[in-house]
Amino acid sequence: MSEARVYAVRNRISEALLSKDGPTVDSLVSDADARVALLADRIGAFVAGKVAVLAAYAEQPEEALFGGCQAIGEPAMNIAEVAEAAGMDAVGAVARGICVMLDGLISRGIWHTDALRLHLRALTLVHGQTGQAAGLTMVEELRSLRFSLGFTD
Amino acid sequence: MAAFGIRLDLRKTTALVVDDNPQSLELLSQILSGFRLGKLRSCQSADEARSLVARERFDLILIDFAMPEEDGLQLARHIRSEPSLPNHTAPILILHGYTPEHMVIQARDAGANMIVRKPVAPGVLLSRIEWIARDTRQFVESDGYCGPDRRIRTVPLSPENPERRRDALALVDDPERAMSQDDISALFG
Repeated sequence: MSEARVYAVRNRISEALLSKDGPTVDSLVSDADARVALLADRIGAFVAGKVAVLAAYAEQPEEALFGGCQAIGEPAMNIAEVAEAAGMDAVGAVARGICVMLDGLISRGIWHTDALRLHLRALTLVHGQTGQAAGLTMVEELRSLRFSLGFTD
Repeated sequence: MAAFGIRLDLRKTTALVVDDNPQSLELLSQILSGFRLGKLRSCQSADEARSLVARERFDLILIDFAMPEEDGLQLARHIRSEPSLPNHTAPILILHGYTPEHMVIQARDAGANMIVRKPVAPGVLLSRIEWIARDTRQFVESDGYCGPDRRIRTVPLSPENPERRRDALALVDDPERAMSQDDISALFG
């Protein structure tokens, strides 16, 4: 019978808490927020490029969508990973919904062509909108649709 | 969120960020630069990361969950599997675009200290780093797992349980005694 070895390890980051003259948490967050704000335009351009890639799939037949799972999943995840940092919450949420649908295929074999196509079209739509409110309503509708089809975010 | 007013000096902290998405990598790098980390290394693949973790010691390793070729969980397992590596016990923070329960469990079982959803807001990331800084969990190495102790709660037995256990042991220790159904039921009750 094998035995587990349990031992203490040195946590080197813990030393960061001991400083008496180090920066405060609020100043660190404020500095980082300022740096993130400077990236907004670049993130916007990056997201626009990925949305264009996905928009091309929205009108493809089922075979192309199924066969292109990975080619759809990667740009969708790329968007989900950054969009909200540039204030594009609805775009990020719809892209995340696409990832959820593709993960459902991989982990549980659930596949819905029409629902996936709807998400792809919605992504283009919310990306083109200037206000957040309508986009977030669409996000909620898509979430309800996924839930009714058996997907869990 | 991290508690405001607390001081956190990361100027001596070295970190590695691994992310195949260049925009996400830049975002994370900028956030960590804002936290004034002493040294920040970054790369876009698990292959590059394997080379870096083999020769440099990091105080914190941030890894993207979903990467082509080799994903973040495989990289985390690699780091945990090699006691000779300088980062065998280093804190690992996994990041992913969405974090359903099964992915959280996968990350935990790969030996990660924490999983965070991307894009991570600076306040959230700093609070997670602070959590890791305060983490006093022991490290576990066994055949099937290597990483921080996954037991987050140790619940003591209720006062009546030790006595019941002693009674049960006394019953099964007596080979001459045939157990009644009540005796058997009592062991499971």
